[in-house]
Amino acid sequence: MSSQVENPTIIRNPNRSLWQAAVAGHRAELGQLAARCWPPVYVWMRVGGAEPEEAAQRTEDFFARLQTVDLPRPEEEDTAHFQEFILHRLGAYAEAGFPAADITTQAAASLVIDRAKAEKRFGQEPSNRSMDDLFSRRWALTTLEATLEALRQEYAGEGKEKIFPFLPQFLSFSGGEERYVEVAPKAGLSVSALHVTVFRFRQRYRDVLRRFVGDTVQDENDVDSELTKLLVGAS
Amino acid sequence: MPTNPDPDPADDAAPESGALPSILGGMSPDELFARGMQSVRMTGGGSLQSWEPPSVKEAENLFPNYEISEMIGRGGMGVVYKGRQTALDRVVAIKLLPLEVSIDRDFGERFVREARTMAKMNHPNIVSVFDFGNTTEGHLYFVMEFVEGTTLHHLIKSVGLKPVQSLELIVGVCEALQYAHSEGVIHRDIKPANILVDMKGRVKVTDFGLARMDTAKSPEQWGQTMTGMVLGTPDYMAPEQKKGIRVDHRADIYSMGVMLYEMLCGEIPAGIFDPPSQRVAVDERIDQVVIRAMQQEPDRRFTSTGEMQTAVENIRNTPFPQKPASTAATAIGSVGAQSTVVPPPGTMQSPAQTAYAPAPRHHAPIGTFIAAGCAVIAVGIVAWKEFRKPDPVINPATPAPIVAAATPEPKVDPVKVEPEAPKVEPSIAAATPAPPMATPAPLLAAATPVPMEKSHEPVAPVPAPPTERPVAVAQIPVVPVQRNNQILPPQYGAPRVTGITPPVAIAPPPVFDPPPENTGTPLLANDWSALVASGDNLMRRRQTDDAIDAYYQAIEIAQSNPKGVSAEQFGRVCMSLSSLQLQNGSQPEAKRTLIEGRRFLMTNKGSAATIQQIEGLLRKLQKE
Repeated sequence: MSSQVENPTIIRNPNRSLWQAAVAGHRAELGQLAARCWPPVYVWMRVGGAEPEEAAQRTEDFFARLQTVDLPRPEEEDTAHFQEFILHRLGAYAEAGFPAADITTQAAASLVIDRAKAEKRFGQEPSNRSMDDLFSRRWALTTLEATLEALRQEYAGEGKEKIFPFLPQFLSFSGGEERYVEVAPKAGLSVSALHVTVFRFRQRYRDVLRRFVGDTVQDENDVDSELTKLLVGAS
Repeated sequence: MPTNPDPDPADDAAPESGALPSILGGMSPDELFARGMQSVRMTGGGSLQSWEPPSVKEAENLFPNYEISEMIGRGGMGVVYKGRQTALDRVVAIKLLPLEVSIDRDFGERFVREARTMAKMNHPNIVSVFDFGNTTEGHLYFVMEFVEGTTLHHLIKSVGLKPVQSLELIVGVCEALQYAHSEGVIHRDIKPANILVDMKGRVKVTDFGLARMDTAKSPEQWGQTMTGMVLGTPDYMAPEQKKGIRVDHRADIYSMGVMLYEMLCGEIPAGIFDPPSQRVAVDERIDQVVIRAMQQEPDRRFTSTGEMQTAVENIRNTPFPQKPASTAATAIGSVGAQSTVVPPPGTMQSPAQTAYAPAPRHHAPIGTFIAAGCAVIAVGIVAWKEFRKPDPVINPATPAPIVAAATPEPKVDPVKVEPEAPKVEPSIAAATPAPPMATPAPLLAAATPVPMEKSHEPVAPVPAPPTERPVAVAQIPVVPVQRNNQILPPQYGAPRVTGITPPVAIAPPPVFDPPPENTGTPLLANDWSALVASGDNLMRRRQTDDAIDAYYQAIEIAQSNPKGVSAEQFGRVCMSLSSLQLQNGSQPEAKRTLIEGRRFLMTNKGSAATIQQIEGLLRKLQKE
């Protein structure tokens, strides 16, 4: 996930998700989604047999075309969920022989993936899974990474960067009071202050995660089912 | 989970295959996604959820004014402890919700509403609430009366109830609800799992979590949430409640009618059903009580629970009209088209509108049970339903480890064993055989010894009702609730159905031998193999809900002690359970079950073939 993770768009535009806007023809929003969601596409390409550079190029070409010549066609496709849409389009892209994007198209789309990071991440993928499974898994993990990264940046923006590293562990459902007692002095907080901080962090985490996921569906009522799907995909 | 964060965690994960990279560290994706879900959706998953409730020791830190002695029930949506309020030296039950649920505003409001509603009421047949609030960590909790006993649901499903016992118990419920209604409170979720029966045989109504003041004017106040969901338990919900329109106290009366039928017949009325007198040997006047309580139109029901109580009392206190024993026997033995009563429209037809001639109940009379010298194992049961096993995400830990056995040497949870049989009041615990049917009987009790068909069947362990937790029912239009066994019998007068199209299932239907006539034995609730076998047996008998319950318990045991469990068998149980969950229309729970099965197999070195089989089912489920 890029180090510059944008906050979920719904925060700025509460009435429309990124994907909803993208389907409506807004290329900028589609570009934002591409910037978030390229890692699973790269993994899909690599598992499909592409060499690292080839996979990176195909990933860039795929998204470049998506934002220019291969725009979503709501009248022809099931565009309810961005993830399913991308997976469907990847299949079509492969069937078409991975056509490259021309110079004009590339210029229109600014996605340039970090090849070293992409390859390093790919090296950590399980080896005994199918392309689609790994795609789903990476999609889910990318969503979680993006959520935490957005929160990290948010906390940094508020001058709380020192406290942030202690907080994600409290997203776990295990552990009791002793963990608060153990962590509080390290974080420079009282136990009660840590309770409050954790409480707010959990709330904020849920908001951000739901909004990131909400950005990939057209109907906000699908967020919970999408979360379930991501949970399944991450396993 | 590390407590010392990596100062620069990005992209520095361990390189082993499958490791979570970067900022995710060693955290579980399951937990991270669960944190994002609306907590109300987490009620269906039960024990399959990853929430770990505070231990007894941790709970003591949360409740400094109480001595916590034990955890008496837990699930995905909460935990119940038994404790002692030190200042007052009072034994209490403490209900605690997970923090992630507690911070959910909607759920928190419902929880507080339940506590406040219950706290307002002071009646011997209603569980008392002493205190509620938030712990220092933010958990919602409330402290309430500890009821030593069991649930009505457990009694029905384990030892069964005699008609005379059913009538006595329903009178207690009527009294409780009459009081609640007079206070302007509608329960809205009356069902056997919400009725506790203490060691003296007294009923205690609990779980007013869905209750509303009768002055409610808006749909929200009636119980319909802003998102178009209606809360309640479908099998017991009045038609108007299912439609999400305004309900009043008569919705509770409808639920009591359903519950009374279940108490008498052992099954919930569904579709076109036989009146109680055609199922068991009871006064035909009871039919009228059930029929009137279950009228589709609220105006045609009893006007109050007091009126219903009077009707029941009249039956209890007047002679049982003579009915030839042969008639009763015929009625009992001829379940099916010939004996099925087709009532006038709107009378004896359930909301499901499905033909149903239910099979005879299978239970051992409580009198026989007690006479055999067996102890009914009673534990503190607390208001609890939605806690269980849990739900939407959640569903399940057992509400409490209840074990009831119908054998002379019952196997019981040693922790919960009571030294003596419960001190049930005479009419409830009557072990003396009542006069035979042929003898003119002055009271309804005389009719109870009539043997019921298949009464020799073993009692399956039924610790808690999997389908009785409050659920969020997608509303409007109302979708008839289809219980698995409701589609089997032919409609009265219709040609006999020879082929049944089963609900879509992701797992191929298991191939079983014909149901054995008499299988299974009373089981230890903590016995994995026995519970699995019980689940299999119940599945063969198409007792879907009970099978789900048995599997849930088995899974819970396996989760707590995986070493004693075959990973392959665990996987198979998960696949069977998910299939049943799908039959019940719960895709999310089926998914969670499969995910848990896969996790268990991967953690415990299950075979790749089984893992792939589960993954295949998951993919199929996703596509559907």
